Amino acid sequence: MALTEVSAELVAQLSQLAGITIAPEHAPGVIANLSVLLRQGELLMEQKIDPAIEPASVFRP
Amino acid sequence: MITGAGSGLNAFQEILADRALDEAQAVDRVVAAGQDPGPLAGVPYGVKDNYDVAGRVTTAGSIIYRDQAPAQADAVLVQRARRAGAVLVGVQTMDELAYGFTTENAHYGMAHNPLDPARSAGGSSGGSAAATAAGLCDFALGTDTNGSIRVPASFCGLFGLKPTFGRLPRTGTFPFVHDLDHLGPFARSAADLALIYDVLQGHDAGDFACADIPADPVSARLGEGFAGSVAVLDGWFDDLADAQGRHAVAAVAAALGATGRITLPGAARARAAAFILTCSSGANLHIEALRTRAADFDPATRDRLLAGALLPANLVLQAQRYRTLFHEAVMEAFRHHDVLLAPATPCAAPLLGQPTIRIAGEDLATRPNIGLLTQPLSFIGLPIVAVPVRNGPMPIGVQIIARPWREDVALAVAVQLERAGVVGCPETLPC
Repeated sequence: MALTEVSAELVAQLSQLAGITIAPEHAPGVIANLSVLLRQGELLMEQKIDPAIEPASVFRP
Repeated sequence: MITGAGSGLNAFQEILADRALDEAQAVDRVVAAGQDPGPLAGVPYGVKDNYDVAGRVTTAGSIIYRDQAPAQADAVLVQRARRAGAVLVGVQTMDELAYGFTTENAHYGMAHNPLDPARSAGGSSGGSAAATAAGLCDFALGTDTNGSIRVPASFCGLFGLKPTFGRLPRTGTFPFVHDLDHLGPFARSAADLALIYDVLQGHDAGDFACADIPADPVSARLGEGFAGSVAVLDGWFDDLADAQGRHAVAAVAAALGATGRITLPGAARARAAAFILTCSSGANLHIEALRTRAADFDPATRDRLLAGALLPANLVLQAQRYRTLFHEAVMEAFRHHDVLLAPATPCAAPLLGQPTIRIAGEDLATRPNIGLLTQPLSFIGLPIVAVPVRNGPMPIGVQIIARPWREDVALAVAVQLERAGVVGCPETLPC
């Protein structure tokens, strides 16, 4: 099962990767929203998608 | 009226009195010269604060970008409205950066519903809807990424059009989610909506996603009526509706002779995918501001965007591939039906500041969940007209959903329903 519970420590590490410093007063909101997003992501990842299905965006050179 | 009693709605962020007078006088001169002033001659309208207006900074409901240079030109759709003789009276309030469904903006205030000012006008195009419903303008231009035209139309009792993705050029508008942003009008009648849509149509190379197809004017064909096959969307779109929404859909379905009910497989995942694309795309767009001045965002926007910046790329790509998969499933439904029906919102307009709404027996946070019934459909870019049904103290919208590029069908249905008295805008409130 994918990670959906988010800790402050995880947010700190992820934000470091993203090059963002999250102020302590903003962290609870980010944790709550990331938890929701990851639960939505888990629902999405449950769907096996045939490799032939391409991403919707098509680049036109 | 806009600056008088109507100002209490907070529908306008800025009134463009000088420009409006100039444009009105220009129309007068054309008429006096015996020339054609255009199909929207003298019609007052407003635009959401994410449309470029020449000489004005496009702030998109934010304070972060207010130091940028003023727009050098009007947005393309504003240019087209002007050429048709319409008169721009002002720029309208919105949720910050278009990321919301209630137009409760920490910087610029709340847009109030003219039908009950204690209630939300919806969002993120709430000011546009409130102004049009109150008669402060005769139409307005908004944007819809996940429901931001359809939700305010539902709450304010208006007709709203979210066209096919790529139909109307977004050139000269402040983006939110490049893969999901649509532009469209609000009006108080279906015929007006169609006329405005016709004026706005046409390719523009300034929008990479704008389809290079000829304009397809629909107004002259609306009288032909609609006799196609209609189905009500079941499953997700019924489970998450309330009794008022279900009754509204039932009334529309009965008037159209709907032949059945169908379930779109994967609507919940479609919504999840749209949710993830929105958050990650918005975060990427605003990453510099998130890094340097996060405190200047509306708190309701900030924490979602910060979270979006932390999402694994795998989820974003999965969302894009699911978009293709869901599109295929929905096109299968359109092999058997010309029009699909669903409520536009899980409930009628909630109170401003209301923390939760009741959906399927659960109390869910209001702001992120108002778009549950709109998100899966805009995710795949279908053309949709939201039509107002007056079946309660507040109206509620029904989505008339057509195949891609068949705005003519959705609009013909809307006109037919309005003529039959099944749908219609509440009386304009005196201001």
